[in-house]
Amino acid sequence: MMAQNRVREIRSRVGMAQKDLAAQVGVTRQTISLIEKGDYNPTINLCLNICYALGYKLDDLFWVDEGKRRS
Amino acid sequence: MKRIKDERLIIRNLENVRWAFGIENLAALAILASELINRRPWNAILSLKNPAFLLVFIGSMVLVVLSLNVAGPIEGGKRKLSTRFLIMAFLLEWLFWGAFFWMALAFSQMLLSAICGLIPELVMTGSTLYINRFREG
Repeated sequence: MMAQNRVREIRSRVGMAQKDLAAQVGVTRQTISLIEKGDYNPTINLCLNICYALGYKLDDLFWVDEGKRRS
Repeated sequence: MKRIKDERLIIRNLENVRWAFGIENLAALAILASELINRRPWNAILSLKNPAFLLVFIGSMVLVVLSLNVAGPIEGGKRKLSTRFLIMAFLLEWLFWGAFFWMALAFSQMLLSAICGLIPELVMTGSTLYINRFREG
């Protein structure tokens, strides 16, 4: 189950480079790129750190499509 | 070597370790198979003095013990075993293992058989007690 996200959109809106976001949350730039492309599911810790770095709530950045949720 | 901080790379590194473990064991099994094909005696192949067998043996034992923390939570939905049941199971299994070693030692050395039987029994009871922690009620 791959979570959806708006990291790229929000990061652009905030005007932060992938490299800077990566440095703030303690991962490599490639990891941020993979998260934005939806190719890597980050842990809740990393999700929260990304949210704190961008100044948004978890719900605004990450979600799972209704059809793919576990009931 | 630099410490890995990126969680994705930590997971990737663990996957690499898993691959290395699998390949290492396959290589050891291939060595054992080649020894079997070359008609080396069974007792020499399955001896702890044989490094290839020792490697597979240690790897398997470590995996069995470590898999308890996976098996434990899966058992979570079942009813907790009572202390009385656990004691009875311990005694019966110890009796079984003791008898096994007693037979293996040609029905002699009863005390030694009991001590030898206690070792696998303690491992079994330890794993049962560990898994029982995750059971309900």
